[in-house]
Amino acid sequence: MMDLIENFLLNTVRSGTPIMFALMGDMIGQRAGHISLSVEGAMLTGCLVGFTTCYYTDSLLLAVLFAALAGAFVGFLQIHFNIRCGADMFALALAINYFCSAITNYFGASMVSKSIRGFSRIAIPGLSRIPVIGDAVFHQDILTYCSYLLPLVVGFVLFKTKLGVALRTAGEMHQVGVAYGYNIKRLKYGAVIAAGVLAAIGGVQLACAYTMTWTSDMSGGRGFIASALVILCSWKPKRAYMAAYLFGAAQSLQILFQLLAVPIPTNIVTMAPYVVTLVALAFISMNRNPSMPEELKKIGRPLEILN
Amino acid sequence: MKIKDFVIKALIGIAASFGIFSVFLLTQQQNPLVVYKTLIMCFVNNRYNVGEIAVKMTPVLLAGMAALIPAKVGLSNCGGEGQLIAGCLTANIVGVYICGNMPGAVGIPIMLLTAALAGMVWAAIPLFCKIRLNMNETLTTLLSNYVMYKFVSYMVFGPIKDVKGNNYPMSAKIAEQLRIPSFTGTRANFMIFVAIAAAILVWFVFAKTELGFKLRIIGGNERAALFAGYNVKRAQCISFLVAGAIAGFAGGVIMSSVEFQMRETTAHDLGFLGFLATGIAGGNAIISILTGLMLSALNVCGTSLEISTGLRSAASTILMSIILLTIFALGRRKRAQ
Repeated sequence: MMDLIENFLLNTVRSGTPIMFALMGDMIGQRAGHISLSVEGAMLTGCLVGFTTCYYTDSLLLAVLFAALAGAFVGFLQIHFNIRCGADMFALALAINYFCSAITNYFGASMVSKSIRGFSRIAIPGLSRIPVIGDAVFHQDILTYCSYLLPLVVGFVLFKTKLGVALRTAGEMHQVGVAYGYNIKRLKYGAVIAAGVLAAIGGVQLACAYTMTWTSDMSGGRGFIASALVILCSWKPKRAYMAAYLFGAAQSLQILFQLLAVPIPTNIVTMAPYVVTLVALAFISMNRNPSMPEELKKIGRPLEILN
Repeated sequence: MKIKDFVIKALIGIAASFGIFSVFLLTQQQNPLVVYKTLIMCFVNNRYNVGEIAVKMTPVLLAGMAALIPAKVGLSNCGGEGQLIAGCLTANIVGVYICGNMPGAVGIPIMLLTAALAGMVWAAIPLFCKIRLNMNETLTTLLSNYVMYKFVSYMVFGPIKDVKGNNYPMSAKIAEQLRIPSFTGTRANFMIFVAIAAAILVWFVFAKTELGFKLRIIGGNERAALFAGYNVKRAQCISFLVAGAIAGFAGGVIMSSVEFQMRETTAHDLGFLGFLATGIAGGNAIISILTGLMLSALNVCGTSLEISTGLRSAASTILMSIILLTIFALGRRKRAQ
């Protein structure tokens, strides 16, 4: 029984980590007034770029670096076409995801069923011996350790630094930012590109540490879930611990149920992450989201109207 | 957006995309001219392939309307994909288990109607979340697509798996008389005209009628609509449900005209393509017909590309997405003039 719980917790943390990265990325973007659903595409691209780099060079640092660059490119496409070319945010994001899916399908075909060494799990001396949670929390790969700190870092940047104030101004009322002499456009570019970068690093963790394989379209909506979880967090970084691991737990139910031989079909259990996210979102939505960034409230006119 | 403006924009976009795609082809040791010749030749003197465009275009156009109608009243429906698949699945179940012995004239309408109903029900869930709980409908509809994917997997691996199908994850085929007859030499059928008529009707309602004007006010400025005494929520609900029904209907059409049986990936991506078709059309139903035609044609020639040049069929998807992105990139410049 103890083993089972340990295994469940371990999987919860491991499958929660990619979401944590994408979640924090999109939170930065949303705080700056831009919902980038293209984190889905960025994550997928990160998976393939990270995996391929790992396969050919065996260098984890390069894998993260190249994936981050690819993610930055995806983020750039999203924000540039949105601001400069006036494309609709959501339709554009879906087109970008389609693009990422096509590119990764094409170039990833030769990577299917290859295996890599990937990230190894490092035990923190002492702490990893704590019963039940020790193995799950303190015997992980390096990216997961980074993800533990991420909400704290993002929280610090958003709420304690000048940059954070400027970013939030861009998301709350950009006219004020303009009046104070902030370059709102540059801030938005930075925020959305950061979202792409973080999501792509999440993708590296997914492909090179968690699953250690590449399959086409492996991100499977995790980016969308991350976007939804930002709302679940009410745009507060520290709540990401709860949100990301809630998703992780829903994801690892599948393995738990298999081990316990619970007679529920696998395909029903794999719905859990999506359904849990939706239900959690429904609960949080009952109190009218007082902390929603103002600029986000203006979105929701998806296509050009009254033409 | 005027149609003429759009055609110019699309032509520039397509030309630019072919340029970008040529670079990609050169890196893949392919001669771009040969590839483009293949793309065009696959429709010359090839009745079947031209028919395939219509086969793809029917659901894409209908799913496009399912995205466009809610967009006009200020809701975004990214769930056309899930609603379409819901319709497809329902049509199959109804066709196999209920209408199996009925004549086509009775069975086909029942299948299509239940498919539309299923799409409507699947759309009602995110709609409820939006209206009652004020949840972001973009995200709920997107996530509900994935739930539907998993649900279809569950169904074809379990309850509706064909007992005579050698244990493959497929459902049984619907009976012969329940299949919509196709034009000779193709898989296309008259439903393509229904889809085009639907698009024209949507355009007419929004552009020329009082109802359409009201709906556009609701989408343009909810407050103004409230002050004018319109029932905003009711209009939004009805529009969204109609959209779900249209997407579901499209699923039913696919099932009874080309697919006949349900597999895990049946009708995947068609809903997204529809959404994107209206996305680049800027919410104009007439232009959606053109964009839908373009996307379907590209989708069809992907297969011939794979056969004749050995490029993986994902290559045509790359071309398609480059065209989409270029048209998005050209967006503002036209509007500013």
